[in-house]
Formats: sequence, structure tokens, C-alpha cells
Amino acid sequence: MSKVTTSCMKYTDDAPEGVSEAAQSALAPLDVRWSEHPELGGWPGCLVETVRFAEACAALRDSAGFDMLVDHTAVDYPDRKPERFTVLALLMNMTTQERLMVRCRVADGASVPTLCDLWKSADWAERETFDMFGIPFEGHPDLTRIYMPQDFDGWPLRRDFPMQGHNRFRD
Amino acid sequence: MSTDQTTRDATPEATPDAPPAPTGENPEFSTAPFDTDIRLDAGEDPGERMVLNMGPQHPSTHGVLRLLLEVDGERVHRVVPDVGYLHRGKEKIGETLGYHRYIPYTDRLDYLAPLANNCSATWAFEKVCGIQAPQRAQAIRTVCCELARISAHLLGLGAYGMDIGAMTVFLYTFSERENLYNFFEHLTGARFTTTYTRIGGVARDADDEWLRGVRDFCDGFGKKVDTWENLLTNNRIWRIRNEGVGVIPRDMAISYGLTGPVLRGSGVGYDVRKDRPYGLYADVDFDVPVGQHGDCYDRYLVRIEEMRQSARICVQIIDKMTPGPILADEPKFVLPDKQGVMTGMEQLIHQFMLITGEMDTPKGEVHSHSENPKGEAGYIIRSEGGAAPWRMKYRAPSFVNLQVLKDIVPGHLLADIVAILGSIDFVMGECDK
Amino acid sequence: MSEVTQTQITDMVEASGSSECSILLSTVKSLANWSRKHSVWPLPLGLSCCGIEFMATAANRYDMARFGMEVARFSPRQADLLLVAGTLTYKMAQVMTRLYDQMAEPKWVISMGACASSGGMYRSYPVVQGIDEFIPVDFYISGCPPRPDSVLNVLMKLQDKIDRDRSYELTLASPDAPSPLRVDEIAVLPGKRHGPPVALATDGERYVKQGPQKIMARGVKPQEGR
Repeated sequence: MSKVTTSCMKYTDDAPEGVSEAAQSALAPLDVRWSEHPELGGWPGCLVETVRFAEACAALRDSAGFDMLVDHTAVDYPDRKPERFTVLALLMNMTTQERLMVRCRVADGASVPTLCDLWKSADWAERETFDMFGIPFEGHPDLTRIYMPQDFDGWPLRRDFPMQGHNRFRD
Repeated sequence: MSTDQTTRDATPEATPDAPPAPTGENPEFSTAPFDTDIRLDAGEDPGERMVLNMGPQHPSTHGVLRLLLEVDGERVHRVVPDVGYLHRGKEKIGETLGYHRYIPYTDRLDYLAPLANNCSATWAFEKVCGIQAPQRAQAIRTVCCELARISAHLLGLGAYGMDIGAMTVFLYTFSERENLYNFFEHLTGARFTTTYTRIGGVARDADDEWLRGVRDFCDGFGKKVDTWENLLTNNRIWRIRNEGVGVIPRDMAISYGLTGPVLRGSGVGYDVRKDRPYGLYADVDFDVPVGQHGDCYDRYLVRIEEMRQSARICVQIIDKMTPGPILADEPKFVLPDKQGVMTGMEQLIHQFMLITGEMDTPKGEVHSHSENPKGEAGYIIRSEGGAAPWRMKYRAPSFVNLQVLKDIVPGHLLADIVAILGSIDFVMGECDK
Repeated sequence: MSEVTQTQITDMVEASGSSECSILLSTVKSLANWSRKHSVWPLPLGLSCCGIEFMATAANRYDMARFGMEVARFSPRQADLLLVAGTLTYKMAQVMTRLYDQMAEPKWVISMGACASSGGMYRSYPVVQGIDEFIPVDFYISGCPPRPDSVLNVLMKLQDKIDRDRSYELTLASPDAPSPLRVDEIAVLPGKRHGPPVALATDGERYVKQGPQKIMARGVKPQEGR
């Protein structure tokens, strides 16, 4: 596997096509950077500062009508310094069907503000991301493993975790 | 309910150094080991409360879901769903093996509707490669998705009925599923682990006999649905057990991110097939049923109507189907025709190279969504080139839908849980990935 | 059922004053085995996809009731046959061993499908590479998932095996006998990857001797990278 030290996503200051006015104005005070219009057919997205992740999502929910958290996950770049992970949250506006991907970057061990106060679905979604990547979510009411047993050692979906051979039942 | 797994915990006061009585906010509450991860919420008057363990081996949890219930007599006060008993690391497997070799694993995600999973995965992978399947392949896929939807709803309905006590429905729906299995077997060679789609098309062409058979099946399907509806829809017991049970209000449904029949049962008319059409859904005429009350009965009605609509879609597509290629002509990403692989050296080498990772996908991030029987199945794929995704996230509708149990179960009787679980209709294979 | 019968046999043998009461024993044995084999109550541990094929086996087209096996018991106390259908993860493994422990002797185990038998297509971190790392298995069914026909085939094979069951003799064997298990009692198990072949109905002994922890300790050798 070749070494990937930076993500393929490119960010600019201008919002791409397809982002509604409401979303743009909701995010205007937060100094976000927009991803270039994705050539592979994804949804528009933006990158926010880690500490303002929840703030940005709250602004989108309250003033741009993004009332559903569709998906939540993270991407791991072990060789990217200093921020190893990108946390993704895919939001949807149920009225207009508009979707927006909100991203933030976080270093190993640093925490991300939780979205639990905004959407109820964030509870399990963040537990899953925590379980698979070991990214703590600050303010989460019950941040425990959800798929793996509670005493499991390791974060399975990190790139440096082996596909097999990690057997916790070994002596 | 296996009685020997029932645990009746001591109240926290009983042992002096036990942690304080946990509430939802207390992190102590679920970090405890296996048997004690729910404790009695003593409150002012604990009454006759006990902790009851339901699952992971329980006939009506439809797989390996585990529910920890805090009950007072028959009344449930708190429920803690515990998932992960079937976590097989599918995303890791996909990131390791690559796009082509991941398709067989999608069969086992929602194993009640493998064809729908095959299709949703390949639609996502085709977006990554930047190619499109030809018209005929899209038509076959769309028919397959709808047959899979019928098959999944049939099993859901049969198991739901059986859990509530209507054994006959189970036998009817399973006979019908066997008919569908015959179709799947004819088309793909397997009863339900089909691995039918390929990037850029499908594995085999559908012959005329198959298409005729499916059309006849769909034509006569409405009458069969009437038979099952006669057994259930106006059945007094069925209505009492389901009406007003497990009500999910509209706002709660959206906040929990529910999709599929569970969301539509709560009165939100969101359906990916209508709102972001993929496949050939833009060309067909169908209705999206929507419930009014958000209770178990509405979700049941939505599923029944969805089956009728699925049959309708199949008929329309089969009538419009024209002959043509079933694989896109994109040798950089698409496997060669299987017949050629078996007879020609060039094609064999070509297939070998693609499968072993000689494939270079464009870089970028892809989001793809499709309407699976249980709800919206989504892929977020981050590609950094190569034959395998750098990160592949599968949005499992069952996982998201199950979470709502925390809010809707408390206050109901123990027997209602069975109805609620049946009406949410989840698959643990998909939920746990 | 079995305990009652065994007690009766013991009584009869003691009443006759001899431990070599082979004619009586043989007749009772075949009667008991005959009734056992036509009333196997399975505990279907439907973990994943194979569970759906098991449901199809039990439903009307394949109709397991023809073999007297339609009474699926979800309580291990009432079951004779543990049918592990599907992918077993380490998180679920402790539940399965517990179910096995709770079942009363005599008990049989069928491992249905590739995942239960060997981990199947899942060579990944959470999946147990074959349930025989935890419990003894009588029959393995190949397929992913097996067709209902092959499930029925194995159920008939299980009936044959019950018919050949000689656990009564073992129970009544004198203490100074060399070993209750003879060579011809060892089942030949296709697809067994490691360890000695598992013996017939009294395999619980082996399990009790080794203990689940011991068996659990065996693992895959860690590999660097992937």
C-alpha cells in the first residue's frame, strides 16, 4: 500500500455550485473552506475547524433546515501530520433534499465536539466512529464501544490495524 | 425468553462501594462488563423492578439483537439495545480486498435482500470508476431490487405475524418466498447469496423465460397480497396488538435519521427512488405509501402497499425492456464476459489483473444512496486511487432505525416489544456490518 | 427423557444382579435410540444468513416436521440439538458456549454453513474461525449458505448417528475398563482442520476436561500488516 500523506480533497474559499444560499449564509461567520466540486459525483462539502464542528452543524440545522444527520464517519490517514483523522457528517435537509458533507480534521487523541445535542441519531453514530477509530467525542453522554466487546483492545478501522491476526483471546 | 439468562440485579445500595445509581448521563452505566451493563434505576420507589435480558438468542429478536429491559411487572421502563454480536468487519474487508472482490460480501449485509445490496454497492462503485452500466443491465437491476424488496418484506411480514401469533401468514409468505428463490436461482445460480452484479453491469443476462415468469408472478401478486391482507388487516387481534403501539412521531423519526418504511410510516414521504432516482426508477410510475399515525399498524400497511408497488414497477420495466449488452465497454474497470474468460487467454489475463488489483480508480469522494428494503443504504467512499477504497462507509439502515427503540419502547408492555421489533423490521447482518 | 431411561436401565441392570445384561440392554437401547432419533428438538442458533435457510428448511416446502424435528426450542434446557447457523463472532461466542453448557446430555451439535465451520469468507478480526474452537461438533454442513436439501441430508445422517449411539454401554461400563471410547466410535469428520476427531455422544467429557478457556486460548498467529 503506497503511503498517502495527504487527502485527495482540495479546498477553496468559494462555495461550489449546488450549495443553497441558506447553507452559505449559515456557515459564513464560521470561516469554512469548501471542497471543490467533487468530480466523482459526491455531495458538496466543507471543512470547518475542529472546535467549531458542532457549532457549524448547529448553524446548518437551525438556519438552513438541515434536520437529518444521515451519516457520520471518519477517514484515517496515518501518515498525515499533524491531523490524522477527518471526521465526516453528512447532513440532509428533508424539505429540499439538499445534502451537505461537513468535515473536520483531528489529531490522534484529540476530541471532537459531539453532535448528540443536535440529532438523536448522533448517539450511536458517534459511538460507532469511536469504536472503529478511537476518536473521542467531547460531551457524548455514553461513549462506549458499540460493535466490539467493551474490553477489546485496538481500533479496527484504522489503517494500521491488521485485517486478521489480532486475536484478543490469545494468552 | 430463556429464563436462565434473566438476571435480577441487586439495587446499587446493596453493595457499599458500588457506583452511584446510574442515569442516562452517567458514563458508569455502560462501561461495566458483560452481565451488569444495565443496572436498576432505583429512583424513589423501585417497586418490583427487575432487569430482564432479551436476546441475543431469542426467536423474536430476528437474529442476534440483545435488549436489556428494565421491567416493572409487564411494563417496560427502560430499554438498552446492545448490538454488535454479528460484527464481521465488512468495511475493513472492503478496504482490504477492493471493489470487485467486495461484491460477494454485500450479499451477507441485508441477507433478506441480497440482490438489492449487490445493486446498491455496484451503483456506488460505478460512481467511483466514473462509468455507467448499459440500459439493459440497469433494467435487470431495477427488477432485481424490487423482487428483493418483495422478498424482504415477505419474510418481515411472516416473522412479524408469527411473533404476534399469526402462524398461518408465515407459511403463506414462505411459500411465496420459495417462488422468488426459484427466480433468483434461475437468474443467478444461487438461492440468496447471489453475487449477481458486476461493476459496469450484471453477471448473466436474463432470458425471456425468466422475464415472462417474473411478469406472471407480478401480475398475480396483487391477489396473493389480498389473501394475506384478509388474514391480517382487519383481524381484530392484529389491530389491537398493533394500533397505537410504538408510535414514532414525525419529528422524532427525522431526528433519529430513520429511513425506509419506518420513516414513511411516520408520515414523511421520503423515498430515494423518487427523490434522487437511480437505475430506471425515473422512467416508471409508482406511488410511495405514507402512514398517518406512525404506529406499528401503519408501518405494516406501508410495507403491504410497497409490495404491490414493487410488483407494479417490475411489470412496467419488463414490458419496456429491450435487448442489448449487459456489461459496459470499459476494460479499465469492467471484468470481461465470463464465457470469454472460460475460453480465451486474453480475457483470462484481463480478469486476473482486475481481480488482483491492477485497477486504478480516480481519486475523490463518492456518496451514493439507494432505497433498500429496510431504508436508505448509503456508501461514502474515499478513493485514493488503486483497486481498493481508502475508506468505505456503509450506512446501514437497520443500525440507524434500531436506535429509536430507546425512545418508543418505554411505557409499553413486554408483549408489545415483539410487535415493535417486527414492525421496525431490521436485519442484524446489516446492522452490525 | 434420557435421564429417566438411563435410570430405568440402571435399575434393571442392578435388579438382574449382573452388569453384563446385554440382551435386555440392547433392546432397551434400540428402543431409546429409536425414540430419540425421531424426536430431536433443535435449538436453532440463527446467527445470520444460514438462519434464514434454516427457516426455509422448517417452513412448508422442505418441512422438517417429517423428521420429528419441527419443535424448535429456544430454551437450551429443552433442546437436544444445537444448530449453529451463521457467522460466529467472538462477542457472540460466549453466548454460544453458555447455551451449549445449559443443554442437557445427550446433545448434538451441527455447524451449518461455511462461516460456522471454518470462518468461511470472513478472515477478519471479529470472526471466530470455526465454532469447533469452542464446542465439539458432530456434523459440518458445507455451503454458503447450505441449501435446505443439504440440511435435511445432515439431519438424516444425525438420525443414523443417534441410532448407533452406545452411550448406555459407556455409562454402565465397569470402572476398570480401559477406555469407554473405542476406535470404531470415532466419527470421521470431513473438513476438520485441527485437533483430534471429535467422538460421539459423550463428547461433553472432552469439553469438560479441556474447558472453554483452554480451547479459547488457541488463536491465529498474528501477522504483520495485512
